[in-house]
Amino acid sequence: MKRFVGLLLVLSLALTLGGISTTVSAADNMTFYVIAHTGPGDPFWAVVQRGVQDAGKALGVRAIFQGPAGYNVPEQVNMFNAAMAAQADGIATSISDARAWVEPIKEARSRGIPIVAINCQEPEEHKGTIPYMAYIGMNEYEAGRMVAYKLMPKLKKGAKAVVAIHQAGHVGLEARAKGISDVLTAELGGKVDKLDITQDATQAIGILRSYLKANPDTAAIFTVGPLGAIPTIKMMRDDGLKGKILYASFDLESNTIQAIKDGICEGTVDQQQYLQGFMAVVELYLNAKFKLDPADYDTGRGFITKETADIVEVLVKDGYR
Amino acid sequence: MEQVTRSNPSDIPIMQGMKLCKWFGRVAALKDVDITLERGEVVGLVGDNGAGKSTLIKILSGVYQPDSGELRFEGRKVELDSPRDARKLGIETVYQDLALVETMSIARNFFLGAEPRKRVGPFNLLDTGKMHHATEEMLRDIGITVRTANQEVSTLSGGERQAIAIGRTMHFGGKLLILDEPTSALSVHETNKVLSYINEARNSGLAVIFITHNLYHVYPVADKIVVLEHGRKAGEFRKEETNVEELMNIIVHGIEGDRRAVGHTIQ
Amino acid sequence: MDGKGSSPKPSFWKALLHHREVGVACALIIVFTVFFSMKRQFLNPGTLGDIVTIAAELGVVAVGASFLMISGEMDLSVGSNFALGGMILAMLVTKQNWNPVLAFILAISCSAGIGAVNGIITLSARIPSFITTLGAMMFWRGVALYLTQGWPISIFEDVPLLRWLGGGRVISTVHISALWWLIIGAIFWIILQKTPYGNWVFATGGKRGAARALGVPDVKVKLINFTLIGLLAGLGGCFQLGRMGSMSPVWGQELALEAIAASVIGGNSLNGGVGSILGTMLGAITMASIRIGLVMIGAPAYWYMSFVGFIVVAAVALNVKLGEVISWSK
Repeated sequence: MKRFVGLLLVLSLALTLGGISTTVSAADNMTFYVIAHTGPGDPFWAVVQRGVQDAGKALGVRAIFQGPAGYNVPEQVNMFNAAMAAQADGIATSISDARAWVEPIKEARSRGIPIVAINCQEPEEHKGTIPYMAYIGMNEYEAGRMVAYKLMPKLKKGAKAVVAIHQAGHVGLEARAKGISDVLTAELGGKVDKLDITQDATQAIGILRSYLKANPDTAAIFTVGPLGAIPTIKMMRDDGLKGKILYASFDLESNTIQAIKDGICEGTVDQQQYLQGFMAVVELYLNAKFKLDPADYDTGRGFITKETADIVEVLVKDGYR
Repeated sequence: MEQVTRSNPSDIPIMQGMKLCKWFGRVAALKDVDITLERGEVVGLVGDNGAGKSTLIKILSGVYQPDSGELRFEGRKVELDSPRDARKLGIETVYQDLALVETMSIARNFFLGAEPRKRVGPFNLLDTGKMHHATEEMLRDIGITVRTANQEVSTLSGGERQAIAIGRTMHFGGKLLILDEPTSALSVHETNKVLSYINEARNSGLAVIFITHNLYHVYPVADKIVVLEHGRKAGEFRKEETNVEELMNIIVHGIEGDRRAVGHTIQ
Repeated sequence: MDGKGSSPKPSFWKALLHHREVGVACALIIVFTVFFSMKRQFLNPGTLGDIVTIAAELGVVAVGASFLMISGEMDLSVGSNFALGGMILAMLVTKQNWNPVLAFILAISCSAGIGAVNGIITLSARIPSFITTLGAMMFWRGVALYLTQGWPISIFEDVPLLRWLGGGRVISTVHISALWWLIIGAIFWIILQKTPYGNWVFATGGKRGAARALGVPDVKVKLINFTLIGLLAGLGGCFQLGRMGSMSPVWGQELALEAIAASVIGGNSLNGGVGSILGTMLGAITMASIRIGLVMIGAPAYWYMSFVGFIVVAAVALNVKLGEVISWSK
């Protein structure tokens, strides 16, 4: 028994000492947090994390990227609160819920902590209710409209399309989907279905296949992110759908790029999320250091097609885009 | 019922079973068995596996209902629909492995299903003080001194567990105590202890049925021994009229061997 | 067993070791020591307030989970029930313009009803509760997604009830839900330790046959406990809705396992019959501390799972070790 207690004491002591040394090394530096609604397990957020880390290195500050394992707003809010408790010099967060972020960000601002929003914002009707200082990212709804317009020339009047969503309920993704279906419904007058394909790749393929079986006249498929794109591309390859169904997606990721080069995918929206991580830290740093007010930053609404795919492919593989 | 008991304190048996029959499908588990349980008397119920011992005690304790025959409790005809009915009359059964909950303390076990309550404001709370004291007293009475009422039952020996289950029956004013193989998993020393508790229960006026397949355990404490064989009563013997060898012979070779049934008639 | 040789009046330390909460208390002390040594702000009142606030939403469900677990069953559907409870309240208030108090009562009644249905199916069809509630978990999650087509529901108006449920603060960063949680914990502790019903709960989970033979209504006990955990899951959802102002049909997905983990860290046995409400509450606080602490020291959030996993095994191992050294008292 005594030995067991002793072991525990030694263990905790070792952890304690290990902890002190890291505290000392970062003690004089400023600390910035970037908190996302999903962690770096999603390839998209891994790039944001890289932007955060690179900015931290470049500026000589501690820049920490955090996010829950899966889309989870309450957990993200808890992480935000923890960053406040850690007395961060600035926090960036994605506005993953229009309501849940009101109080935490008000609280942070009242404590004098600079806050910028990244990646996604509250929808139009609630604009201005959350007092973050600037938004670094893209307008999801507008991006959705854009990708729909890009495919429009290749679609006939009344053509049917499906928007596959891999995180049903996520505000940003739902807005992308809405942008697509608003344009298609208005311009083509065809049926646009929304399909929950889940985050599980195997399930997603099954759901898409049975949808196409039931709706053989589907003319276009849209996915709203890499977790939706990867299974969709695999299905299109396996079932030989190239040239039969138009396909477009969001975000850059190596599978999507390859599909564009192979002519399976018409193109993808690039929101250059590396900038969302990097610029968030830069703007927070400049505010903390020189009281420079953060400004909105459009991280881009480019559309990567077969012509530009080669250039960005290398950068995607390196994890910068 | 109380009045009957008081007006005829000794001559009415606590419980009687008359011509009890129980069928499971086409198999007769029990055929015309008579049994009489007098107060202050220990009845040993012996027989081979499948002789009908457990069917008989399950009828007496309300788990099974007989297909024919009659049960009398203190002279009155009764029908026992559940173990709860039986407990209400004062028939307590201590099953070999279902006597106590090992993960609970002795005190919590002792009062399980009959917890003492005290009112605190509008609430009915456990009277933990009473539970503790009554349990400690019971432990002292049965001679378990190294334990406290708060100890978990899992820390007790098999003999101590049987003793506590028997003590509980006596505490709650049981009249008939049915013990199912109380000594089967015990050491010699512990067996002797349990037998002494059984003696105590008898001396306090309880009727006791002691089910066992080990004749050597029941013989020292029994006043009467009932032998079952293939669902029938093979014999009923007063202890002073027989001996272990003779009983053994009957169990092994059946009633056709050396036979000397007791002329103890039931009214 | 050491118990035989023990003196009748054990020393203070020995008496302390007699408690089932020792394992979780050690775990909590270690977690606090580690995080405090790495980040001084970890012991600030604001941080502790964040911890109890997070612990409350998990803990109110964990209290129900350990109560049910002690009676020998488990409920995997609490996460779905949690989301559904919050969603029903939010929907009735925003879309149907119900009186918030009435909506709240209906929401937690629905959750209690879901719990009761779990119990009725488990007990009447004699299916292991693991299976019944696994099915219920998927079924009700699907219903929740269907109700809003995947969208979260938010309440933008100022609803006083929501402030009373979790939006309001008692002091510093401590939300009011933490207070409710402490009260609920105390009530359940009294029920378990100080009422005849508590005795039946222990007995039903400890040895069902013996409990039944002694006249304990074991089926009724289990059914009541299934209903209670449903009620508490819905209440947890309403607490979170109160704090967040939003409820999404996809939230609370890991809640069932986290609630079971908090119970196990707190000294509850998966086999039933044994457990402690206080331990469960300390378990929930331990898990919330890890959540907050890892963010504060800047460790990747993925370590949360690993850390909790480690603590689960370590706390149980410590309890087993202590159990060998001394005989438990309850």
